[in-house]
Amino acid sequence: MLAQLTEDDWILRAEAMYYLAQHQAIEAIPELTRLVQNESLSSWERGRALIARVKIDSKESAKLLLSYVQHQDLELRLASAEGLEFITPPNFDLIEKLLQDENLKVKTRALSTLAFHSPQKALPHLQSFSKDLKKDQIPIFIRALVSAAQADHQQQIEKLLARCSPEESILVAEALDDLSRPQAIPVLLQLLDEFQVKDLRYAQILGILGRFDSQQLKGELQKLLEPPQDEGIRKASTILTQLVHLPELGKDLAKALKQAKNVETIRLGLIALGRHSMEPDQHKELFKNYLTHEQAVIRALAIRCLAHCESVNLFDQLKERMADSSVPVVQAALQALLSAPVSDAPRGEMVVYLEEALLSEHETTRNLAFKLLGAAGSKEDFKPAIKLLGDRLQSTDEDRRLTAAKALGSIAPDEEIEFVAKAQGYLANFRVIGTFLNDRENNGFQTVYPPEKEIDFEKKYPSKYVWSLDGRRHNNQEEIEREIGWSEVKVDQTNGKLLLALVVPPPGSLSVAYAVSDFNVVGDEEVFLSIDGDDAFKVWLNGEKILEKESTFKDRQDSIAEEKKLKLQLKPEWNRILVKSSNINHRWWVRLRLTNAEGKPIRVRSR
Amino acid sequence: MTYKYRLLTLSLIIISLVQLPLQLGSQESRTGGQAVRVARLTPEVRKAITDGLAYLAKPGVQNDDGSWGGGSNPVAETSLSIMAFLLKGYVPGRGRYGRVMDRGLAYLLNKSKQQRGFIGTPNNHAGMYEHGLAILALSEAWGQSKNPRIRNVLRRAVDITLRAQNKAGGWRYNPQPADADLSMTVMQLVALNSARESGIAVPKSTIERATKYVLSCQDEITGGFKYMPNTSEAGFARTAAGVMSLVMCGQSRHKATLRGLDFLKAYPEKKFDKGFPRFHYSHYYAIQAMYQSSEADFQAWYPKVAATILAQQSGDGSWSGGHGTAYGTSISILVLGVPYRFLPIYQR
Repeated sequence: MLAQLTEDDWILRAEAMYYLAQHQAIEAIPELTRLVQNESLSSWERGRALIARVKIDSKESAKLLLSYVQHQDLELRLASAEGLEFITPPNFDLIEKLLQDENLKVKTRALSTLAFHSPQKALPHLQSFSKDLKKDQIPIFIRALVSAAQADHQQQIEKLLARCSPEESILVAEALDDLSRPQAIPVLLQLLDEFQVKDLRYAQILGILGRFDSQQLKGELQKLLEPPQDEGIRKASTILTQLVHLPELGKDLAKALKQAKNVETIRLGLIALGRHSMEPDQHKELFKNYLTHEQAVIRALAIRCLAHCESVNLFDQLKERMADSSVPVVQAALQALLSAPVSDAPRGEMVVYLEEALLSEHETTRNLAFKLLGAAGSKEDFKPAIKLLGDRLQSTDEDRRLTAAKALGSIAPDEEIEFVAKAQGYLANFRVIGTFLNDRENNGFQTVYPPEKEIDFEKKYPSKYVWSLDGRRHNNQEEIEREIGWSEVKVDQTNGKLLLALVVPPPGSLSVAYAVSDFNVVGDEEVFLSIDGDDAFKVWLNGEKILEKESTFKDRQDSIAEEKKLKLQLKPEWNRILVKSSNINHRWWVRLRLTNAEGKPIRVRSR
Repeated sequence: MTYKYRLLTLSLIIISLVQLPLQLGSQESRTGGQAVRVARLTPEVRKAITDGLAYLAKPGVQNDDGSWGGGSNPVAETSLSIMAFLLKGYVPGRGRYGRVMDRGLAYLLNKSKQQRGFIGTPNNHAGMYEHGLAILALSEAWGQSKNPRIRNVLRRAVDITLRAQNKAGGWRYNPQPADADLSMTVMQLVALNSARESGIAVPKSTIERATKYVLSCQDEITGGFKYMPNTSEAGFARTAAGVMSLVMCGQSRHKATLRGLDFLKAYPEKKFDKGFPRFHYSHYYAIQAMYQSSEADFQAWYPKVAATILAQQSGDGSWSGGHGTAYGTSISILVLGVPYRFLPIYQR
């Protein structure tokens, strides 16, 4: 920042002056002095340098100021008048000289400085100045009035503010920017009336207010709420939301809010009271009252506020909102419930609780309801859920089917997962054998292992594996022998995946396994097989190879091969599918789904 | 099983062992519902343990302040040494090693007093391990010692551990609820379980959350356990620790436990080599996991690990180890002596 003082660009230099003064950077004094004395610079910039120097070192700057009080340049005299505010003890002789200045701007600035140091000495001047005050002097004059801090000035300030346009109002705020006197707070609060909340100038004034201590603001906020009026409530709410933590004002705001009719006022009040820092539990009864407000936006907001209350059972409070006429309200309620303690959910009654949302025609509502059912439902909800939603497992819309399956899977008892998978058409009953040896080049996929020659579920086979966890054979790792046999396995994922790594001995990398499913299709519909798997698979139907797919191997990533809707020539009664799956590393699974021509699941019997 | 009932069972086992000649062969006795198979304790193993304990009790091996070890983790070495004596049925304050054990316990109790309840070495990565091991040793000693301070110290130590559990359910280097890793979490889980069994209140939810953390460290593909849920690959030592903790938390038939056991069994035979990384740490957990898993698993495992350990014993009865001879000796005894089952944690 010091180096920035010597930049060519005056904007950069002015910025450096401001921040160096703010941080009392004593090292900047020599360069600031040079800038003040540099006659090739604009007088405005020299004035700013003078003020910055005074702010950093008021004692040593007093002499310097002396030479500029009667300087021919207006800007430097103005800067002197401003700078004298920072000189303690005050130099009233110099201030008096400036009060005699021919220029009104300089005189007004000097008056503000005098009022800052001695309200009593300033009072006679304030009266005489106010008589023929020009409009552009209003901001500094208001600063003088605020500094003088006399009670009867309040009315005078209000009259002056009434003369200001919004553009001039912001100049008043800027004039009060670095004045830390609490008397500035009501003026700044009044200035807020000139602007909409979304106006940047509103935020600028809030920023100035934010420099005051919250306890200094507290009294003025209380005045805004008593008697309760919409404008005051809105202003207080905004400040409580954006600037200060004053939970002790919560009761005053809640009391005032009860009188409010304006929707925007209620909205801003609820936002303020619902903040964690405002201890929202204190206001839960107020929030509950707004759950039935005629405006949907208020109902939704009340839900969000209640969601911040730790002592509220949201499932109890939001039951009626599940049937709310407004979609955003229902969605707000579902969102809030997703964060509520699961122990508060009505055990075994979640399907009834969520029935309307689960059947909603709005996709987002439905998805939220399914998510909530999965998160807060219990095993007792499974049967009613299947009754209500079972047909969704047959849906040809894949997203719809999978969302339902995921929710049902979350609440299904372990033994029912298979049912959810089967209802979607997935083959879920297998006999599995593995592992046989594979290598980095996936040669095991083409090696003919015993299950391709015979299937005898009673037989055991010698096999080999390599202890590799990453799909590489380090330092010619030895092959280890072990005996393997067939084991019965049920799919335990609602997405139908047979996770091979989980059902064969470890390590799973550099491995091959086989899975057999015997099934009987009821009916005479055409049957199509969709299959996917990681990394590669071959399929035999009743002893005849019908498919072979190998993905492009991606190290330590999913490498998925897939085939959709392959028409099957089935035998009457029982059919047998044999799947060979190989893995190099990472995930290892295979999934088979039987559908009709429209994509609806085919129900099968397995053995 | 309540602690009182466990003690009764233990007493019955001890009595039966005293009455029965310790012979080689397949002799079994059934006491308190447990089959006590003494055949695995070969004379060589029994002698190795006896010599090892004698080494630990030697003046100069146990330090003047009652601790063991000269390294940076005396609390760990002391805790393991106390457990080694408890393992063979020695009790504090009585019998041949009563005084030695009392001095060791006094060291742990004083540590607690000096450090406001925290027993591990402060500002040390192993500090929380030590704290957990001390809880384990004190829990196992509680009830067999006449020292009434043990219970209060245990309560305080357990309280510190409970407060240090992080959001995910695990623990790490410092007694604060910050991050977590499997190794430290297993240590605390084993310690808390032992404390709970000894009658100190440990919320069920703490154990459940810790179990959940352990489960989150399982590698989906191999069934082994990783150091943290989203880091590195599964390893033997981590898997042994993970499986042991799950078994101890009553999850012996959990899919994750069974897959972890499969991982340990399928791991190449080099796991029994003397130079296998973290040999003692790995087998301290693995042997308990196998013992709790099934008789067949234990029978297949124990002779191999016992043979390696026996071959490493020095003439003075000690074993060297990565953290000093007190560590090497005590943990070797703890692995070899699993069949003794005098330690409540070693019971099925």
